[in-house]
Amino acid sequence: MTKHFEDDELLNSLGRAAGKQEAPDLNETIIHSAVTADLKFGQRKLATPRLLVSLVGGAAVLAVTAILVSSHAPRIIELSNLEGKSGIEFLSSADGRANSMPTGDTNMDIFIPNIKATQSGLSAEAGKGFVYRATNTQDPEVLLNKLASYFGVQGSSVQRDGYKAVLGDKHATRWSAYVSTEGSLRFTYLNASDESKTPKVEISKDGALKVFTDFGLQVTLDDIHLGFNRAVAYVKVENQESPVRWILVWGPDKRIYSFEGYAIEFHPFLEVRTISPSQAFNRLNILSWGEGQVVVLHEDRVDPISPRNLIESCRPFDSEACEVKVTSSETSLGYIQDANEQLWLVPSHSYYVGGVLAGGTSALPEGNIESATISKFPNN
Amino acid sequence: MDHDKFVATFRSHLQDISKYLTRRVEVSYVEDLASEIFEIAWRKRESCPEGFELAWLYKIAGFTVSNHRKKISRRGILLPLLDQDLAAPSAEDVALDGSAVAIAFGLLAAKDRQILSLLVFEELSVKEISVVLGATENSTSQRLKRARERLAKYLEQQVSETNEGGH
Repeated sequence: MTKHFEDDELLNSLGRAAGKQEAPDLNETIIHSAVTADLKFGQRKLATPRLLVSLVGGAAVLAVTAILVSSHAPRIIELSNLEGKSGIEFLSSADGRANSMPTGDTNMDIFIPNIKATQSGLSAEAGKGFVYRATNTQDPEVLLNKLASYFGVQGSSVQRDGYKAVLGDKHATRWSAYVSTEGSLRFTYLNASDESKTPKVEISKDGALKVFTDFGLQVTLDDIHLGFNRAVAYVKVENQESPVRWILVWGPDKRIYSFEGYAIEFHPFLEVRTISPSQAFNRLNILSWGEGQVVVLHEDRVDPISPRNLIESCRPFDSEACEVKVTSSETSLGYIQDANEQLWLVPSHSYYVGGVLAGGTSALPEGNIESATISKFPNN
Repeated sequence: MDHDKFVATFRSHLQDISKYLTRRVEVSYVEDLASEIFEIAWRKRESCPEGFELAWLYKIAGFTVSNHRKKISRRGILLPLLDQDLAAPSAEDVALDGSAVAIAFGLLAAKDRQILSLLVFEELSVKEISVVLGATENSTSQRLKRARERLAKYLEQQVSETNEGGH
């Protein structure tokens, strides 16, 4: 294969930086089996789709971008308003970094271009909810020192707008610790080496719990989600999991390869009016399930059917639109990061198809997020 | 495209897919995911653009990797906005060395890592990348240009920090 960047030294250097990974030799029978598998598949009656689609964003409507949903139902107290016209700036792709807004032009959408969401029986009743604001739980300087010490990162300290870092190897920067002024922390260990002082930690919930709690995340063993080589826990809001996560990844030598999270806690900031699930639902189709990032998801705990079944059941490659009907919703919280990297949780609605979470939107009235400057809201 | 032609067409891309997957998932998953990719490819073979078979396979592979990552996450529904493009390899995934350019790559947003990976690691042309992304060539060129600029910017920062640390 020909390189298409021969004259570009930067890209050549990136290519040289990649190690030579051993890719498994795949047997040609995989291709033959694909045909056979399809024949079997075609004879199988598809189960009712259990897991459908998740609209995760789009660039057209700022008010519903950057929303993650959790199952938390916020306390409803009383109406306040979110009037304000100064223009919150969500993170844009201006610098391409830390952008939490999907732009809708990734490779996801092209696979499922014709899904149309419809609703049935969703409540038309408006409500109230809380905006939560994140605050740091630790001084960034103290946190950085702790992070560097914990993972054995010794080296030069640097300070930039918005973050401080300790670079473990001043020449090659093989491992490093970063802490932002907004409370995010990150340790990265890019290249395994005997000289590293990175601790070995048992790959277990207990091992992860110790690391998480050492950095102040208030979770218990039951809150740890353990995967093959990683553990995840979520910052809680009023004792419920928020979408903001901490993640710890082990390398093959059981040393911690990367560790990141947010040393923050969320506090109720403002009571707001919310629009009904039925009204907010329209935002899904305004964004267009085809033009936004539409992702077929798989839900292990509901029914271990493969994503292939879901794709097939919805026939996303067909020219005609595939319709999915949302039949229920619940109040939830969405995660937003503003232009200053301040984290917020805002009232949202989660939508379900056949009892399975299929997506979410902001429940704030139209224009409130887009036109209000959250930083100018009155403090509690 | 009948069975024989399908096999003949895609046989030569087996290792490309293996490498693509190895850069993005645990090696133990590679064979299963490759099987899934070729199963989808067979079912959707009529939509394969002639002359761009590999790019089309990468398009399916990106989708498959995304689903795989959500599946193993147990909380896939919460991931997409934190990991914007789940098919993008991380710096760790591609086993980059510890050089400044490797660090800079790791600092890029997922969509930038994804498009640069297709160019540098998968060695696709702009036209082929546009097939993978479902975008126009012009749009793809612009996205590549911006991603490269951001890589250069982060590299500059890394070098600057390294130099500061050396003094």
